[in-house]
Amino acid sequence: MSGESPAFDLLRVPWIGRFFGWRHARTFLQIPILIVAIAMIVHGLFGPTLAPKNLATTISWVHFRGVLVLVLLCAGNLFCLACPFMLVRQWARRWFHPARTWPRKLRNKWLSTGLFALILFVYELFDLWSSPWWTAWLIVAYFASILAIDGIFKHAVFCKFVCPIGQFNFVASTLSPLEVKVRDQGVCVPCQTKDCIRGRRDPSGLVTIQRGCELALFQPSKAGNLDCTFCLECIQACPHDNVGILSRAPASELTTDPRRSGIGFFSRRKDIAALALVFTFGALLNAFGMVSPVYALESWIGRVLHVSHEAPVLGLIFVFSLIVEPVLMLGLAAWLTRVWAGSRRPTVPLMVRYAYGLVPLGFGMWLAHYSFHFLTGILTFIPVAQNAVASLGRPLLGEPLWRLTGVPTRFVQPLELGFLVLGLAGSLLVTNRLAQDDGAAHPVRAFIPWATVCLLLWVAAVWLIFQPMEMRATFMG
Amino acid sequence: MSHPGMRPEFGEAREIAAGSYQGRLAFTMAGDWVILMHVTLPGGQKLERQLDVNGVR
Repeated sequence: MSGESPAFDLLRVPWIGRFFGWRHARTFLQIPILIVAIAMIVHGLFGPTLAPKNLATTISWVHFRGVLVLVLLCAGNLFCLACPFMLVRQWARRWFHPARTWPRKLRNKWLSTGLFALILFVYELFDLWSSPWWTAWLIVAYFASILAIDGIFKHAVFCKFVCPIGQFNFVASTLSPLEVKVRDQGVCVPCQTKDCIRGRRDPSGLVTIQRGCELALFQPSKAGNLDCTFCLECIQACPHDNVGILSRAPASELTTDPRRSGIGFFSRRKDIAALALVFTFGALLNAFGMVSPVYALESWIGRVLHVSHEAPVLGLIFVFSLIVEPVLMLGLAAWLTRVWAGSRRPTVPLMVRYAYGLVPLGFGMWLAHYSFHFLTGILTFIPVAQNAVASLGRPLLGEPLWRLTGVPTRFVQPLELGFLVLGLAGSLLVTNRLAQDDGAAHPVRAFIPWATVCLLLWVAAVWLIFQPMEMRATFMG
Repeated sequence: MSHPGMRPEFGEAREIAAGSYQGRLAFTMAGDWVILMHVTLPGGQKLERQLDVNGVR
């Protein structure tokens, strides 16, 4: 809509706008994160083997995850903006010039959704939170993967089709209040150069002087945050200064189904719906893996099946939680929407459509879980860093203050509950909006099955956060 | 096998007989605990020993 004026544009804020318009802004943000990542790798491989004393485990599993979800809630996908893996890839591309295109069959989210589920599985199976060594190797594997894939294939293939962290961020950022977006569609209509996606080359046409969007998001028809890494390329490429970081209603993109640039229609993307379901049910599963009842369930399954290894038992729990349970719940709700509310859509498209409605609930659970660890252990990086420096020979940061931890649990639990309530409210709003469109004759009937699904998941989430944790403590004396 | 970021518990052991020390600990949650003992010998030499206490219920 020509002349549309947003309520807020981050790039119009003095200093901040100037900073993001600077062509080295991303690199500036990536360098400190890269230094921290290198420190984590070195300490993980050569430092203390006890997780609470190691930078790799402390920063990965306490601080990184907590900051990630809170920034996604309050702003947007700023981690992908400051991604250290992309900085190394960028340097590597000075020597490697990929020429191949990513196979057509893999241009979807199935691979990355599988990898996302695999990381959740490996995290539980190998207790990654307690192993600095494996945490360090996970970071190394990430660097190696991105160099291998983006060293062979053109564009940002790793970000769009492979990266599990990126997929998590993409889905969660559908609930973020900020979006990289065209300021005035009217300015784009006569644009011939389309620099925001094509980039700019020098007069010879051989040298790229400004990249366009590497994730194939054409700004005028981009809708929402999915697949946007906030890389700033389009902002810097637009010759009309017509791309901003604009405010919008969180989750609004989940209630509509326009044709999205680089994505298509949500309602036709089973792979993205599957990603949304792994995101949502994975949030519950990830928390379930850290509370007492999971051990009772594991031992019961082991006894029934006469299996003593954890991998197959955990595998069964994952298959049930990430495939069987969502298919049953959404399948039943979709069937009711058809037969009771008279929706004309077939069952599977209904499941796909409403899968996005569960994302707020999933994000609420991730927020509750990760903010708990972050806030209750927010100061623990201080003694860990002090200890790491002292181990080099001189305690330049002082003796480790091991008594520093964070906010007491009794103050954090109400916040966790608040995140879950927020998630439930978001899911009810989104599914209600979808039901209004689906059940013209009986919108309430269309809504009730999905509201029931949301409530069931919410009750499970609340039950989880009040369960006693296991295998998470340290004694130091 | 412990999660980073969780609140550590602190305690002090006292000598109750020649060569025997006793202290009280509170395991504040279930799971596998790790006890780190920081020992200062009469000559000032410092030692650190780790003791795993698994399966606290």
